[in-house]
Amino acid sequence: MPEALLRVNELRKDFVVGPMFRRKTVQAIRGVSFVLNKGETLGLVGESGCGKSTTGRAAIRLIEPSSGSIEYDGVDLASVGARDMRRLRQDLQIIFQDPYASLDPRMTVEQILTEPLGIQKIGTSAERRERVMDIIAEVGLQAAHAARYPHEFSGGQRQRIGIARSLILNPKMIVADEPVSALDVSVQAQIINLMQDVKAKHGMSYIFISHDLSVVKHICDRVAVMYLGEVVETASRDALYEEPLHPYTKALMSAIPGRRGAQKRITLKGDIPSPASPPRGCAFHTRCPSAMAICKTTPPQAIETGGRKVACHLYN
Amino acid sequence: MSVAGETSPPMLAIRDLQLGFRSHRGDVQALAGVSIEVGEREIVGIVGESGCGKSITALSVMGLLPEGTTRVMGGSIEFRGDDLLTLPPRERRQMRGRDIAMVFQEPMTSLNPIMPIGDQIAEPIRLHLGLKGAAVTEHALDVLDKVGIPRSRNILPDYPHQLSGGMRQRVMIAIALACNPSLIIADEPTTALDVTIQGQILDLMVEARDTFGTSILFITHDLGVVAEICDRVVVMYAGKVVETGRTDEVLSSPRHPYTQGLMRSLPSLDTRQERLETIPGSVPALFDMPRGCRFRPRCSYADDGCRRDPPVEVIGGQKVKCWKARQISGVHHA
Ligand SMILES: Nc1ncnc2c1ncn2[C@@H]1O[C@H](COP(=O)(O)OP(=O)(O)OP(=O)(O)O)[C@@H](O)[C@H]1O
Ligand SMILES: Nc1ncnc2c1ncn2[C@@H]1O[C@H](COP(=O)(O)OP(=O)(O)OP(=O)(O)O)[C@@H](O)[C@H]1O
Ligand SMILES: [Mg+2]
Ligand SMILES: [Mg+2]
Repeated sequence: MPEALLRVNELRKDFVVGPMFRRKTVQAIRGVSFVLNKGETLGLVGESGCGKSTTGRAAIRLIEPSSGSIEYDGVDLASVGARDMRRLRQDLQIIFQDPYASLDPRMTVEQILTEPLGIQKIGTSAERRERVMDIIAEVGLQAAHAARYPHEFSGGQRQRIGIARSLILNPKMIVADEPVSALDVSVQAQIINLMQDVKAKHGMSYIFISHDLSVVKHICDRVAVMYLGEVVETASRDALYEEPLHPYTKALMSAIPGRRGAQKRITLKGDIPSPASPPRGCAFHTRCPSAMAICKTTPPQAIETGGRKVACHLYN
Repeated sequence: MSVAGETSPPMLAIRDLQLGFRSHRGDVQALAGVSIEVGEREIVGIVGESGCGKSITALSVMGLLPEGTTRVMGGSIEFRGDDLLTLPPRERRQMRGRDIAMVFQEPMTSLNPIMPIGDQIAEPIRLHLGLKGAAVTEHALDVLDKVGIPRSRNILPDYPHQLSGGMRQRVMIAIALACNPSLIIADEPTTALDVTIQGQILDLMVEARDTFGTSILFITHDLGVVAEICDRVVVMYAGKVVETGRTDEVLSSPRHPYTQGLMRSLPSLDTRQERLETIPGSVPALFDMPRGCRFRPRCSYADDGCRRDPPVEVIGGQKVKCWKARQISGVHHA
C-alpha cells in the first residue's frame, strides 16, 4: 500500500487582477484534490493557464491558497505558522522552468547553494562548503564552476544549478515546474536522467509539471490532468496512456504530434475559456465532442473507478 | 532527390550560403555553407538544436537580417530562378508578403500592437492584390474564416493583446496567406502553443498546401511535428546541414551520428526505457568551432580523418555530411 506524503484537498486560489473599479477575480485553481505518495513522481499536465504552476506553488505554500487543506506528513500546511513553515521549507523544494530567472545574477554558484544552508543554520562553514561541493559534483558540474556566475552557463548547466539548489537541504519532495521545457532534446535527456538519478539516490517524491506528454510518460508514476483550474482525471501512467477516460484527456493524447500508429486527432473546437469566467456546469462542455445536456448545467463529481479518478458525466 | 526536384527546378534553392556576424570577438561565421531546396507544393522541415542557424537561414531568405552587422560571405538564394541576394532592395521588398510570407514563433513581436487586426490584414491585400474598399474587407474576412476564426467580423477592430495566443497565431497565418504567396516560411509557429491548438495550426498549414499549392519551409525543434506534416526534413548542426531526406526515411533510419543521437534522446511513447540515451557534451560556440566535422568532439565514430571537412554522401534518398556515413549504415562503395 503506497504511503501518502502529501494530501491536497479542495485547494483554491483566486487572483484579483485589473485596475481599480475594473477588478475581476481569476479563479486560477478551483478545488484541486490529489495525493502524492512517498517516493512517487506525480505528473501535472494540461494546457497553458489551466493552473499547473499555481497548484504546484500553492501545494508547498510558496503562494497562499485561498482555501482548502494541504496535509503534509500529518501536518496541515495551510494553517501552520511562519516559524514552523520555515522549518518545513527544508523538505519542500521547487525547480523552475527557467532557472536563470530564479538565480540571483550577482551571486556565484557557491553563494547560491550556500544560502539555504545559512538560512536553515545548518553546519559549520567548512561543512557547508563540503556539502556544496558534493552537490556540485552530483549534478554533473565541476568544482571550478563554483566560483562562476549564472550568466556564464548554458541553459542545461543552469538547470543543473537549479536542481543542485533544490537538493541542498535534502528535501522530501520537489515541485519541478516545467524543468526541461526550455531545453533542446539532447540537453533535456541529460536533465531527465539526472532527475531520475537523484531520486533513485535520495528517494524523494516529485510533482512534475509539464505539457510534454512523452516526457511525462517517461518519468511519472501517476498523472493528474488539469483543465481550467480543475483536475479532470487522475490515473496511473499506464492506465492513462492506454485508456484515457475523460474526453479532454483523449483529445490531449490524440494531439501528441507524430504519435506513431495513433488514431486520428480529435480536434477541439475553439479556445480555452477565460479563467475569469469559467463556463457553468462542466468547464469543458464548450469544447467537448461528447457534451450532453446535463454538462451545461451541472458540474460533474469526480468518481473513483479501479484505482483511478475521473470527473465526467459520461461515467456517472 | 527532392520529389519535385526531378521534374521541375525547385521553387527555392539556397546554395552554399555562408553568413557571418560582426561581434566584439571579431567576425563569426554562423552559416558555413548551407544548401536547402524547397519544391513546388512541398513542405520541408528544418530541425536542429538552439543556435544551429535555423532562424537566420529563414531571415536571410526574407532579407530581414540586420544590415549593419550581417555579412553574406558566399552562396546564393534562388527563388524561381532569381538570386534574391543580388535583387534590388525595392523588388525584394515587394516580394515579401506577395511571393514569400513569414510566420514567426511569437506573433506579439511581429504584429503591430497599436493597430487593429483588421487594418493589419488589409494592408498587404491593398498593397499586393490591388483591391479597394469593401472588396478588401471581404477578402480579409474570407482568409480569417479559412484559418478557423469564428465570427471573424467581430475581431477586426480588436488589438493583438485582446486575442488569445492561439488566435494571434491564426491571425498571423491569415496575414501570411492573404496574398496567396508561393512560399510560406514558418519559424516555430506552434512552439508557444498548446498541443490541442498546435494541432489546429498544423492542419491549417497542410490545408494551405493542399488547397492553394503553397510551399512551406517549416522550422521546428519538434521531431513529432516534422513527422506529422513534412515531406522532407533538413537536419542542421552548428551552422551546417548534416542530413536531408524524405521525412519517413530520415526518422526511421537516421544516418548521421547527430541525427541518430537526437532520435535516441527522445522519450518514446511506445516503449519503456529506464534511462534516456544522451549525446555527450554540448554544442560548440560560434567562435570556438572545431575544424573539419563540427560534430566530431561529441561523436563516438570520429577519428583523426574527421578533422577534414566531410563530403556529402548520398545513400538511398538521403544526403549525409559525414566521413563515416557508409560505414555506419553498412553501405559499401560500389
Ligand atoms: N500572480 C498572478 N496574478 C494574476 N493571475 C495569475 C497569477 N498567477 C497565475 N495567474 C492566472 O491563473 C491562471 C493559472 O495560471 P498558472 O500559471 O497556474 O497556469 P499554468 O497551467 O502553469 O500555465 P502555463 O502552462 O502557461 O505555465 C492563469 O489564468 C493565470 O493567468
Ligand atoms: N544579429 C545577430 N548577431 C550576431 N549573432 C547572431 C545574430 N542572430 C543570430 N546570431 C547567432 O547566430 C547563430 C544562429 O542563430 P539562430 O537564431 O539562427 O539559431 P536557431 O537555430 O534559430 O536557434 P533557436 O532554436 O534557439 O531559435 C546563434 O549562435 C546566434 O547567437
Ligand atoms: Mg506554469
Ligand atoms: Mg530560431
